[in-house]
Amino acid sequence: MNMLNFKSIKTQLIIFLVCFALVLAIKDKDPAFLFSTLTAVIFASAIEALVLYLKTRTLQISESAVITGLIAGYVISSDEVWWKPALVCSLAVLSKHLIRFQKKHIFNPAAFGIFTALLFLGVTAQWKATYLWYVLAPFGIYFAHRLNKMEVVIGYATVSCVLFGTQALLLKVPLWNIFGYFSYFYIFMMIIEPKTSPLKPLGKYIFGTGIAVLIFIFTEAGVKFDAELLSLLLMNAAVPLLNRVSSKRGGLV
Amino acid sequence: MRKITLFTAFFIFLAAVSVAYAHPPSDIKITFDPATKVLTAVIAHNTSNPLKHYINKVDVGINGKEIIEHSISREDNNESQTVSYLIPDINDGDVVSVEGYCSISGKLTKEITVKLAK
Repeated sequence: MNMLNFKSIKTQLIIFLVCFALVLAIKDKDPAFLFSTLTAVIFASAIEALVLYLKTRTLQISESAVITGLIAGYVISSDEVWWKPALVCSLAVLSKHLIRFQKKHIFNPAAFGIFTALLFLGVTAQWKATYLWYVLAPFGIYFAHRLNKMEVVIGYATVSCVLFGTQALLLKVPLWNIFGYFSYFYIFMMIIEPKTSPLKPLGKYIFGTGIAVLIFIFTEAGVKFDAELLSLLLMNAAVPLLNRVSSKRGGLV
Repeated sequence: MRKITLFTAFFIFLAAVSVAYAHPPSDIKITFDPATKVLTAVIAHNTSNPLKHYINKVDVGINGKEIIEHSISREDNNESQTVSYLIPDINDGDVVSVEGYCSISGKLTKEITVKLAK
């Protein structure tokens, strides 16, 4: 891992997440958040290094694993016992290597690990700083642009605004409240993950749109699980199909 | 570049109108009335539908020990849930924590140190 390659988008994302975590921990006087995040990063990196060693017989630390650990650290509650974020990261990394289609992993690793742990292990989520849109939006737009995933964000934001906006009008809720339903950390740090989202513009728009529609449906159904993570995982599963459809259409595609 | 400009404009607009955020409670304002020994917490949580997406549990702890677990089946309104508890055996300097859980995902914990009137 070349941590000093500042042109690498992964390195930039790691630096952003680490600096942001430090600021949040100081601002909120929350050292447990740093400890929990550090635990997640160590375990994600260690499990990934072990798997890569078994595959290649060389010791590697993957930037992707560090990012997975950082994301898990932000999402999982800091007051969980240390082995829970560790387990989340183990599930995340193992899903990347075990659940594959056409030699690519299907699910966003962090989303898979966190959702599985929330559902089956009684882990709770905090979604640290997900409401700090004034930090996450500008950096997130930059990352989405660099990763060529702006279409995902635009599709998601547009359809969310239409669905929740219509509902707000029907229920006579102030229209501006709909922006309150956005989880900015989720939008800008999770759904734009490059390996598990479509390649072509049409596929990316459908991907973002599909996530927004599923979240709306799950939320209105009153589900008791994390609607956003499940929506992302379901759309991850549709990515091979979206790639095939948008390729057949010439890539608008 | 045009896309970035458009999206930046969108988020400037958003900045102007946004009031509260996402699934976990965005804030918990805790007050304690030393005269009545009533703890009140206003849990900020924006929702489009208070019957389907709401604060479904509030835990109250004193000095790290949970004393109240309160299950709730809907939210007061589209923006917050207010809860009040009488805590007669509280002492000066006790740290009271309030933990609010979203029915979908996410929680937030805040705490205050109690100051009883002399």
